[in-house]
Amino acid sequence: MIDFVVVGSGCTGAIAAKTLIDQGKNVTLLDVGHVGQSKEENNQQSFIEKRESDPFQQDFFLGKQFESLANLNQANPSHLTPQRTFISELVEKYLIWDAGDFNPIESLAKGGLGNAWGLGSYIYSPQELKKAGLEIDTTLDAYRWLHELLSISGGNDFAATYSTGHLYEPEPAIPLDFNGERLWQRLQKNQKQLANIGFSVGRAPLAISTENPKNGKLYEPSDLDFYSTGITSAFRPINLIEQLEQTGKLHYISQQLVLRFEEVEDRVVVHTLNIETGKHDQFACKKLILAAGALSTARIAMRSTGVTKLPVICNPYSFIPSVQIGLLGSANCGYQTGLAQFALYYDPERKHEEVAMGSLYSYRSLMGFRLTREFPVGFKSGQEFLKLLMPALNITGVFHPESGSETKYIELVKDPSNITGDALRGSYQLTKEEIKRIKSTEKAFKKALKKLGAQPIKVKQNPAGASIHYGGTLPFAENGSKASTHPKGRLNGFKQVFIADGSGFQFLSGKGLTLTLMANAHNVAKHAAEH
Amino acid sequence: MTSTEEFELLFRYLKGNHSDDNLYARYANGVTSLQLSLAPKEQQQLLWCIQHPVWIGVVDYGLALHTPSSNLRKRFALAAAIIECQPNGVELYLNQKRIKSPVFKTFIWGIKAAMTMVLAKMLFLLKRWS
Ligand SMILES: Cc1cc2nc3c(=O)[nH]c(=O)nc-3n(C[C@H](O)[C@H](O)[C@H](O)COP(=O)(O)OP(=O)(O)OC[C@H]3O[C@@H](n4cnc5c(N)ncnc54)[C@H](O)[C@@H]3O)c2cc1C
Repeated sequence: MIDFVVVGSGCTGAIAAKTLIDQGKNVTLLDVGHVGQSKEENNQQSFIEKRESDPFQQDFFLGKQFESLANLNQANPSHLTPQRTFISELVEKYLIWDAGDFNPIESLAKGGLGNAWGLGSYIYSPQELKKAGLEIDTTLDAYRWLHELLSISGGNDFAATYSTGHLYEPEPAIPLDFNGERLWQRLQKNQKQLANIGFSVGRAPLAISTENPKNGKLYEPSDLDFYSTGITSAFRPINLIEQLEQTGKLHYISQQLVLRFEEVEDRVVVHTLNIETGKHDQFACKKLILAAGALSTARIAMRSTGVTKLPVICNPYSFIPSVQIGLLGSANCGYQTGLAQFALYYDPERKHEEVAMGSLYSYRSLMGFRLTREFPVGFKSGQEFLKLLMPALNITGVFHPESGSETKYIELVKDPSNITGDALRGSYQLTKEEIKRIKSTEKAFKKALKKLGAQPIKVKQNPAGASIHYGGTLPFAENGSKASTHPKGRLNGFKQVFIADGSGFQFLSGKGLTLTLMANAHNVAKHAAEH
Repeated sequence: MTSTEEFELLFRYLKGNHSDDNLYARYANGVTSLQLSLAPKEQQQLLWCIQHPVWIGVVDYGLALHTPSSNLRKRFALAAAIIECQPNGVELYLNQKRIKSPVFKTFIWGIKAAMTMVLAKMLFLLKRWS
């Protein structure tokens, strides 16, 4: 019998597996683990060089079959560049959603959503950890452990209390591009004024090595980051999984769609569908750790417990394009990064409890036709405007803090026409107060951007699910029902089943959740190993 | 189905000169793989553009205002994307030298855009496309 089965190879599954192996355990990792056809190129060119010289650039920017245009109407389509579309392949077939007003992005890839994550690595404050239902001291320790493992760079500046919490010394931030340089100068001047309206602004902390190459190489400035999943200086869970496979302690089994589990005496039986053969398989283990992402884990838990309705939380997400007037019409040259350059933390009461966060980008590599589509203008007129606008453009994605409510839930409905015999239906409605708070936060962000010298053009609220930050499906509770997680990670009602992804989180700060997801996965796996 | 007229029209509009067969094949391939078939009203709109090519910019604005997720608007987006991904399409979007008086030019652009929006509204109202 297998000792430990981990389900999922995303950020949380990879960290859970690493922690178990560090504790001397052998791990079997079950995963769908789609890898797709590699569309990565060994690309040495810059964005401008590629645009000016490559006659086949369409394949790179749009995809041979226009893959990156296929999802133009999806929430957040621009993230899935051709090199990244494999991340969400197979999802339509195996993680089926019934109609509803919640449009999440899920992944069945080896490495999960972590193949595309923007690397923003933020800590939760003790107050936020408490609200999420996490233990404070052990999570803070886990953050330090993660910094050692991932190498986090940037954030040791004006906003350090929000970005690193002074828990560790991050590596130097990646270089600023010409757009970021100007913002930085304004920030230095206007820091106090920003503080007066409730903002702390600093460099975005990223899971990328700039000094101490733990994940491979050091960061080399590139303005095609957005079209790649392979920056070797960045933390990608797929790399960690591959390293662990090489130790011989991780047995990675792909093509397995986990459907449900049951506890039989002192073992757990995991039922899977082998998507290659179409046959059903079973794996018996002593302990099971689910890390399939908060939504996919919820599916597995619902099938296993008979519970058909669960809560869900997901940060509401707005974005605000803005323009630095002084840069209008500048020449487009030099390095311009697609990674987040600044993080804007909005916490007017300075309580560190309900922080909204904006990540500021200067997306030159976001193609012009995509930007034009966002505005009520024609494409020809858009071309003229973009020539002026592009060098001056910033985009700030604002994540609003999120707690659950009765109007946000998912239901498992029967659907024999699907391969799994069921589908998830999501309902996500914000309350009036939440809408009011979001609007006032957006106003505050517009003010802050002006103080940074960037004039906001508009505010766009994205559809529910677009933030790609999910949690709260099996909320933490000491002695809860089968549809809840014990704060130490055990699924209530089961002895040997643990949850290592965001399913337990009762609250999501506006700060990106993934570092905290990984901290929790580390602690859950540690507990499962000792349990 | 895409016609050569449609392709010629879109490429002339967006790029200002005659296009080549290679790009036509890409465009046709894109329309098929993205399944951008047109509803009867969109066909009318396209046909009208083919008959009155000077108005295509106004129709483009009208689509952006009234039916931003229609398949006809997506065909415009597809053509724009293909042109953008040509080495000689770069100059249409990214300037290599600083543009003079950018604020003034942006202001003029804004006025032109506002006027075209008004025209587009009127056209769509008249043609009962709104
Ligand atoms: C473009 C983009 C940018 C982002 N940027 C940031 C950022 O800057 N900062 C931040 O904090 N977060 C960011 N995120 C979010 C971040 O990627 C996720 O929070 C994180 O990756 C979630 O990890 P996970 O392990 O919980 O789940 P996932 O990444 O969803 O992994 C799930 C894994 O489980 C497997 N799986 C799922 N269901 C089954 C099943 N039934 N059977 C077997 N295997 C299964 C999948 O194959 C996959 O390996 C971003 C996401 C995207 C897409």
